[in-house]
Amino acid sequence: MDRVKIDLSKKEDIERFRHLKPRTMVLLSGTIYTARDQAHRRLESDFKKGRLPIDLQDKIVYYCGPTLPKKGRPIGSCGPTTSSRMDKYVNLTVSLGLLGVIGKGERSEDVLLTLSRSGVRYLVAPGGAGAYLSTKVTASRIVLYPDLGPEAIRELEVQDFPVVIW
Amino acid sequence: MVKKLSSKKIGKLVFEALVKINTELRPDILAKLRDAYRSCDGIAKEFLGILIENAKIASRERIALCQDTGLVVVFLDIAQDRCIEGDVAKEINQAVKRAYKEAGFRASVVKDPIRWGSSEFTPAVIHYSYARAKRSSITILAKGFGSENKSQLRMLLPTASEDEVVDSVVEVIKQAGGSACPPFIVGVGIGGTSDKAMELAKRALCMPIGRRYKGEYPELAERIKEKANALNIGVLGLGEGPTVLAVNILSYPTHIAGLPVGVNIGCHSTRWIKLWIE
Repeated sequence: MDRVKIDLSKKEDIERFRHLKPRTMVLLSGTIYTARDQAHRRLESDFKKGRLPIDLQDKIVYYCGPTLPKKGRPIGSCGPTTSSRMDKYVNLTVSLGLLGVIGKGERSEDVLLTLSRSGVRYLVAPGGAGAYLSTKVTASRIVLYPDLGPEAIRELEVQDFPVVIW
Repeated sequence: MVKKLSSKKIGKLVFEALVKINTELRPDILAKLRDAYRSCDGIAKEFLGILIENAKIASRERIALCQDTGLVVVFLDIAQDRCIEGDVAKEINQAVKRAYKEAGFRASVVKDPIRWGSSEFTPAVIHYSYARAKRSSITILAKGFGSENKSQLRMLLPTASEDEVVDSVVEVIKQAGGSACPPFIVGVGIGGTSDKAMELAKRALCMPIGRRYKGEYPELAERIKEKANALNIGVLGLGEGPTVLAVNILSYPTHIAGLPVGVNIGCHSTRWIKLWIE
């Protein structure tokens, strides 16, 4: 099966990424950000107050709450969580101006339509492959909401991180 | 004379089991994934290949198979001529805490289920029962919630046909979809009361899935499996490859006015072990 390599630090790759067909397998390299249920809740509340603490324009958000890293490793097991739980934050997702979101499983038709109209690609990573995916992460640091523990927002550097365009 | 089982010893078993089940994919499931890998192509083959590789990496590096290391469920089945010495719930919960902390597993348990607080490792859900069996056993399951969220109870009519039983289970599998991490192990509990059916469904998840079927109603299980695989949810919901690896059914007598059917969905890496206690 064909795999398309996308380097998120290159403008031409980002343009190419926007036009990839559904069911394409993509290997992502570059910076992505984790955020799941509680981080979305906080972001939305901050957004409503008009003071968004992070700029995620043209970035990719990964629905993930990892385990702790082993010694010498940047991250622990780090697979995707269920995307449909984030459906209620679709307005926030669009307002952030994201390039894409990574999770697992189906989403509501309404949400998929809204995302595609707003240019946000929905990507799925292999659920339950957290150990494998941890080998695709080269660096990780908490950038927001550290008190949320596994649900804090992390900036991840990834290399050939496998996803499929939904 | 009633012999005593040591709580401390049970705690030790739980500690060792939790590190093992969270990092080593069960051989019976791995064999099924390998079979599926051989018969698939396209995206399903890619993702099944990743799951098989995931099992290798997890076991080699002692890293969790999945970041959702679950809520721990324990079935303590005590033989009738035995009793337990000491505070077994305390020993089990301490073992969970120690295992998860030392292994760096995720704290996924919130004390107050309504209001958000910081997450912890415990308490485990513990089922105690006196078994008719000659030997006491403990079954330990680290249950992830992507699949647990999709589990359901259906209260059918007592006049429901076998087809209706099959269809109700298949409908639950359909609603589970890709986010519960198919291909699934499906546990089905038929009969009893609402709570009994769900308990049996969870026990049915914790059964070996080798060549020989170990549950009850083998024909019904086979029909559910066939119909579910025809849904084409596929590997991780991508519409290709198997949706269900195995269906196990357990039953209990029920009331003349009802037919409870409990369905517990297990992901492709359902993590459990059964150990004998001496």
